[in-house]
Amino acid sequence: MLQKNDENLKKRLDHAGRRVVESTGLSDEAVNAVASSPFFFARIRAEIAREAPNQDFASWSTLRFAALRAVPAMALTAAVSFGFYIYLNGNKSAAPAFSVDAYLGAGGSGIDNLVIAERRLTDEEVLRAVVSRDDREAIK
Amino acid sequence: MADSEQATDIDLVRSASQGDESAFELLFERHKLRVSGIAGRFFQDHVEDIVQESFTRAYFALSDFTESAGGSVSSWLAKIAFNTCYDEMRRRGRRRENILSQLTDADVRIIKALTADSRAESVAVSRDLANKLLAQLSAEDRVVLVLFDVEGLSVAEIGQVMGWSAPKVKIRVFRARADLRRILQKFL
Repeated sequence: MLQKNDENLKKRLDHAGRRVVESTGLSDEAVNAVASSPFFFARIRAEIAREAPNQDFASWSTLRFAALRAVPAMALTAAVSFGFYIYLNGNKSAAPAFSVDAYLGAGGSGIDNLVIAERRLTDEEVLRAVVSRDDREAIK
Repeated sequence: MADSEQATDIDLVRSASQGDESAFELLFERHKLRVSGIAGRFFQDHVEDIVQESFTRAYFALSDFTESAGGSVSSWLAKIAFNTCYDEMRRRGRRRENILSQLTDADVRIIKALTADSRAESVAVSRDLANKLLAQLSAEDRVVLVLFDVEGLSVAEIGQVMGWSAPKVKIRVFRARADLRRILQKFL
């Protein structure tokens, strides 16, 4: 019930508001009087003549203003891009990508390490690799 | 000049943009009433100045007018006039005095009658009263309500005139209606 009353009130106020908006402005006679005021176009022509040099200046000023704002923005963009590039490359050298040698230990011939890293081994292959490594170490 | 009088608005715009002053004068003669009506919708004083400013802006924007942009010269000039009015309203700022202190007893009686019944068509709202009430709204609210309720433009058309996005127009209409409701509600 309360909600319905609110809706009705809102509708009434909106309708009243629309009537108010429609009622604004000058009467037709007043508008006609404005439009037909004497020497109206002569005044507009004078205003155009007065504005013309400013318009030329304004277009140049706009360009200059745009350039003045663009240069620092471009410099900032370049600096940020350069910083980002350095950051990425710096990270690359500081933390190299995954290395099989480092993971498995760089010692030995390396062949067995590579074999272990690149494919799934059977139990027998693992045993053979361990024995051959033990043999190599015994020779040393 | 005899040829010019039979020329279309678009022909006149083309001639005027090439420096033909008489073509621009003819455009002015054809559209001065419409532009004055738009200026008179928002202002009661210095309306001539607004019309003058609108046509001056139009002169310097002649090269911007393109047929392919989908408009008539009339709607192009109307757009310039609405924007001139909007800029001037923003420049002048909103009158924020207490609305109740500006209204006579007769004004208050009219508003009460108007808000009492949504079918109160017989209640006449004077221009002076309407202008006082709308002076309480921001420039954005006033211009959007006139474009929507008086000119009958769609959301997309208002967006084109004011250079606003469709969501912004919708929000503006919603807020403007709410603001006007709030002002009228004071008299209930």
